[in-house]
Parts: sequence; structure tokens; C-alpha cells
Amino acid sequence: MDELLRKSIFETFSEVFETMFFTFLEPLTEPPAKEELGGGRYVEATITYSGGHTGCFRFYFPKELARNITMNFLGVDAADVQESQIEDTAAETANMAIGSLLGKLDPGGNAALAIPETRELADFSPEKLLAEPGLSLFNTEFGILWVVGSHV
Amino acid sequence: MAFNILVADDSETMRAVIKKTVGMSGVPVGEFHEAANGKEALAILEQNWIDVIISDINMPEMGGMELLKKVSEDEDLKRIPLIFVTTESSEARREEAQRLGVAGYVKKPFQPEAIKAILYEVLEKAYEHRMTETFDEGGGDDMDF
Amino acid sequence: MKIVVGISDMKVSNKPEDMLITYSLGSCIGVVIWDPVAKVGGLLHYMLPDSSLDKDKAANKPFMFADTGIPRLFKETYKYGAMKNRLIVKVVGGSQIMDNAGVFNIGKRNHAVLRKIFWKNQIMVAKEDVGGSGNRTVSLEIGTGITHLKVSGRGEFEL
Repeated sequence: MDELLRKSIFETFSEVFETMFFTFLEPLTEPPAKEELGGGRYVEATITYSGGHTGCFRFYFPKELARNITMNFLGVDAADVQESQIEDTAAETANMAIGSLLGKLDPGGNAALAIPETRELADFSPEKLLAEPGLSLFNTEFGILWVVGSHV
Repeated sequence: MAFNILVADDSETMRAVIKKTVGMSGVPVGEFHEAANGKEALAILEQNWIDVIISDINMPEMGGMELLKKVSEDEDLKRIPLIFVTTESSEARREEAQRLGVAGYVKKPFQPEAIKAILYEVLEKAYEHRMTETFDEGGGDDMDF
Repeated sequence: MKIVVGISDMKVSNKPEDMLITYSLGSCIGVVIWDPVAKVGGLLHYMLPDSSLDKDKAANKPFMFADTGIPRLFKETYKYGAMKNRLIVKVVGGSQIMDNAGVFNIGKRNHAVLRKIFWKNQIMVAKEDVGGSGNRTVSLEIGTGITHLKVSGRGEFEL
């Protein structure tokens, strides 16, 4: 991935996570060893844009990370978070992160951002993402956020 | 005198965040209505007296720009100030919003203070006679302190 | 009377002639609160975000951490008649400097945890001067609520 794009992604995603979720993203230059990858419940959020520039970004949140950012977003305790709110927060994260990114990559405002889509993955192994081009990994207190993105 | 507020955003959690922020701001809130898109917002506007609209731009069915356009062209609704809270911040978008008469613009991600500041600015401009008292900032019951 | 708030320290006063002051806010955060009706004010100077990693220290020095210090600051002012919804809250500090442990991000983390606690407890910040790389000194006049801030490289001004 282009270094400038990688830097823009880190800066805009960090701003969203720090401002709305009080959460820090630590970029990983290398994925963890295969034995440490694990798997389990994830929330996937996908968002695309077209018009001038074309792009598609998929976010993979470990369930606990998704739950934690939802708690922080709403300012409530874990017990007060509903399942529907977790997927909704994942969608809104994709919306804010890529919306902000487009602000840098497409200052003319030509690209139209689509509505994000989410789904819960009951038993997902992030190993399958390792081969994807455009992969970014961010370590957080509640697991690694995986982002697969393309921008043309 | 309390203000009736309408929030339009397809994200239920974002609507909850805006609702919480408005509650914390000290502005007296009468009715608080929520819509998931522009079409739902218009239906609410037809049936209820609303003092201010807070809206996203990017929504399914009908987006915020179209909602703003329809509100500004309607004899009964054009008095209502509309604030955009959105990731869309390009010059072109802002200019389009200005042309359509948007009252305020907050970029996502935001701190709650930004919503409070724009809300006061817009309400003071639109409803000067109703903003003479100082408002206490809200504090809920089940807080840690 | 000038009352100095040290590092990992907190003071409250309701005497109009008092001034609370704290120095050397680098990556630390200074929280200044003042009730204009009760004329009660408090100042907290905390160093670290999270007490859960060192519960023993937190028991002895609650003002070292955001999560144990901030609630105590507010509650102490309530004892003197301050009301949460009247308190004017100002936040300074959180510079991005290398602290003793060689950690670079601690200023940002200190600020983020404050925002998280405030959001959860429905508190809005009236004025904020955080980040950068300078050292800060902040003071609060109890009688007037006037807050003076000195930032290295930027001089002294009212916040």
C-alpha cells in the first residue's frame, strides 16, 4: 500500500477512535504469528464509494473490541449495551473513518459514500485476511482491528 | 421555554449520542424526535412542531441535502433552522449547504462541546427572545459523581 | 492565600481570598472546577490515566490517577455546597513529552480518559488547553473564578 495512503488511514482512523471512543490504535507493521492469530466472534463492517474515486473498505472488529467501543461511544456500562447497538456502532465507525479519509483523498467531494453494511461472524479466522492486498492492522486494548481497503 | 428537537441519522447509536449531548448542553428540551432518514424526518415535521433539526447528510431513501432543500422550500417548514452533523466536509458540499440555507455545520468525529456550541449559536440566532435565561447544564441521576 | 497543589494532589477551597495553583503540568492533567454561585473551587493535578494497574498506590495516592482523582475532586466541592450542574470545568495539560518512564503517549492517554469519564458522567468542558509540548502552570482565584494559564513558549493568559 502507498505510504501516503497508509499514513492518511492511520491519522483519520485514530482521530475517529480517540475522539468518539477514547481508544488508541497502534499500527502493526507485521501480523502476529499464525499460532497467535486465534479466531472467534467478529463484527464485519463494509463501506464503498464511487464517483471520481472508487474504494471499498472492510473492517473486522473482534467482538470484545466492538462491544467496548460501543460502551465508550454511548458513555454507558457494558451491561447497558444492546447487541443491535454493537453492529450499529461498527457501521458508524466505518462511516466516520472512511468519510473522514475521503475528506483527505477526495477534497473536491466528487466521491459518493454508500451506506455501510455490517454482519456478525460467529467463527471467523482473520488468517484468511493475511493474503489480502491493502491490509492494515491496528492493535488495541481489546484485540487487533483488521482493515482491508482499496482506493483508486 | 423548551425546544422541540428532531435528529435525523441512519445510525441509532449516533442518534443516541446526539440526544445525550443535547441533554447535557443545558438547552431545555421539550420533545425529542428521531428519524433514520430524510423521508422519516419529513413525516415527523408534518405532524409535530419542531424548533430545530440536526441531520446527517449521507442517509438511505432521502439524504440530508434533499431534506434541507425540501424544508427550505416549504412555507411552513422554512422557519426551522437545520444543522448538519456529518463526515462530508468538502468545499463543494459546504457551499451547496450554504446555498440551501443550512444554519450550522459540525464535522464528525466531534466532541460534545461542538454540538453544544452550534446549538446555542443557532438557537440564539433563530429564537433570540426565548434564549434570555441562563440554562443549567443537565446532570442525570445515575452518574458516578 | 496561595495554596499550592502538588503533583498527584488535589485541593478545594471556599475562601474568596484563596488562590489554588499547580505547576509543572507536562503530560499530567490539571482539572479546574468552580461554582460561581457557591463560590467554591477545586484543582486536581493527576499523572496517570488508570488506577487498576496499581490499586495499592491508588489507595494511598488517589489523586495520582484520573479515575480515582476526578470523582473525588467533584465530590469534595459538593461538600462545600457546589452543584454539579453549576460547576464550570476547565482542563489543561496532557503535553506530548517523554515522561520518566520513556512513554511518549501518556499526555494523550491522560486526556482521553478524562473525556471518557466526563462523557459517562455528563460533564461538559468549558475551556480546554491540552497537548503540544510545553509545560503548564494553572491557577484559580476562588473569589472570582478567574483562571490563569502559563504555557512555556506561549506566555501567560486568562483561560
